[in-house]
Amino acid sequence: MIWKKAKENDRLCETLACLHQIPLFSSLSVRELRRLEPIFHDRRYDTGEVIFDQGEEGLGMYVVVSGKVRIFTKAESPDGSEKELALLGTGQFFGELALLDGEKRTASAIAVEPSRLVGFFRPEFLSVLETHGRAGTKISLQLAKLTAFRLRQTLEGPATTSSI
Amino acid sequence: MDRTSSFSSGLNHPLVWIGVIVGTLISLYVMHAIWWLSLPLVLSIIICYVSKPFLQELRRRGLTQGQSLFTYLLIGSFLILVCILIVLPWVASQIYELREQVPMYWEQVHAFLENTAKDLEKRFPGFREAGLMSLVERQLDTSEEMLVSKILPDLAIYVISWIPPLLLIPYLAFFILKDGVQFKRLILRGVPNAYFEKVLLLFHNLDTQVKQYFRGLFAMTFLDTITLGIGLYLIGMPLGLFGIGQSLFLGLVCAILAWVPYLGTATGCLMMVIVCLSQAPGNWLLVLASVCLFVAVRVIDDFFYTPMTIGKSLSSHPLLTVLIVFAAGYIGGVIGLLLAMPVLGIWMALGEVFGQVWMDERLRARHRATRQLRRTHAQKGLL
Repeated sequence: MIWKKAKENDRLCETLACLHQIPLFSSLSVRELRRLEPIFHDRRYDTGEVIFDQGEEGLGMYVVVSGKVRIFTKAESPDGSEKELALLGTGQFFGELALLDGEKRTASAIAVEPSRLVGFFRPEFLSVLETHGRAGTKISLQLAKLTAFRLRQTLEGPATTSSI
Repeated sequence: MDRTSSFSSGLNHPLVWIGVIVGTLISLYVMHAIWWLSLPLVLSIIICYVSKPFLQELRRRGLTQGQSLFTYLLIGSFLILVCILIVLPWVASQIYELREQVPMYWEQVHAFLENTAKDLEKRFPGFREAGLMSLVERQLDTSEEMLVSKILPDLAIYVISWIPPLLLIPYLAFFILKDGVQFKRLILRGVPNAYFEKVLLLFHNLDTQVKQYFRGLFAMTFLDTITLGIGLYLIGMPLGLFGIGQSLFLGLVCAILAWVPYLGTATGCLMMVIVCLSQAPGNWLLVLASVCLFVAVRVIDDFFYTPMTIGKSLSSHPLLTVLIVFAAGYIGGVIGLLLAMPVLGIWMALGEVFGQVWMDERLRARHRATRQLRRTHAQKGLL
């Protein structure tokens, strides 16, 4: 029992450390991150498992804690050829714009090796804004900065993996 | 529009509807069989939903979950104390006053039925030959005997037997508030990856719907009590019939009866007519005024209070509602009647979740593919 608890604690520390590295949560203190822990969903995917499909209603973002995830779009042509947009590894994230608008996903995501992802979803993000105002504001500000950065990139240079 | 609050077509399939109805009836049956547990559990869930905004406000002000729960417990205990010291004696005095008037009400009903039977015998000789008058008298005597020797003592024992299970409510409410999120996570952990996002969204919608329903129900009961109470006081004022306390108490009883759709409303109206008839026998104008008041309050309810409070959180077809209410009354008695709509609402939301997931071919295909992948990985290197 104690061993199981210790193992869970290790996993939690690993998750929180990984989350603290990404821009969206980097401004949160460890205490704030710990308080938000109940709304992070730990999911495991096997090699070749679809995380989400292009065109599906977007609900939130995922952070790669371990493993690799391929992001790609499918062409509308009859042959349905795929275009790879990114190959994401530990500490990288995708789907963050769904937190803001819940619009349809513009690309698909698939695990290319056994992966552990942490999901952070819109309904719970909205409740964080309600109950943890300080942490919610920090996340919102980071999200706004990220969106501005993506917009600038789109205007100034080639398109990236934004708005997945 | 906020996409998280929109339901789509999960309930379109007839099989899903059959599942919702059967699920509701089985739940009511089980709840009735273990009412000593189910009733406190449902009431604690309602209390949790009603008190959540308060806890959220405390957390918004920077308190941790433990601190806000502790504050909530302190304030809750204080309110219970106030309730025991002030509200309960008031309710008891109102019940005592009503009890004093029961023999008078009974005599009025007796006289009214006897007069009607006499009148019918006079107009239609067939009724005299059939002995309508003696039949009515016999039935009334039997009912009076039953009321005194069986119904009232049974009712008293029934009410007293409710007290110990009700003491469970604060205990259950505390743990639901403390560990509710963990429980939700535990359920979500068991959802396959393919369905996870959809189920999470629908869980959120279910939570919003139930929250809206219970908070709305309480707000509407309060508004109905005030409107009916003041209305009754005003229509009885020229004759000096009701005190403000008595009117509000009657309004509260009618508002609680209105929790049972259609049937409860009709019972409330009938109760008000009987009270008016017994307070001022033969004053049909007062009866008419009380019925008009009741209809007016229903109209205000439908056009103003309901959209303001409950909204369309639990909208179902009126025929289905009535059938479920009758079936719930048959299965679960008074508890069944009161719980029929919330239980139906929860099953409708679950049906919505199941219907949407079940009818999404792509999600099912993804789930099948994942299972196949896992099977292939598990079999790797064997044989």
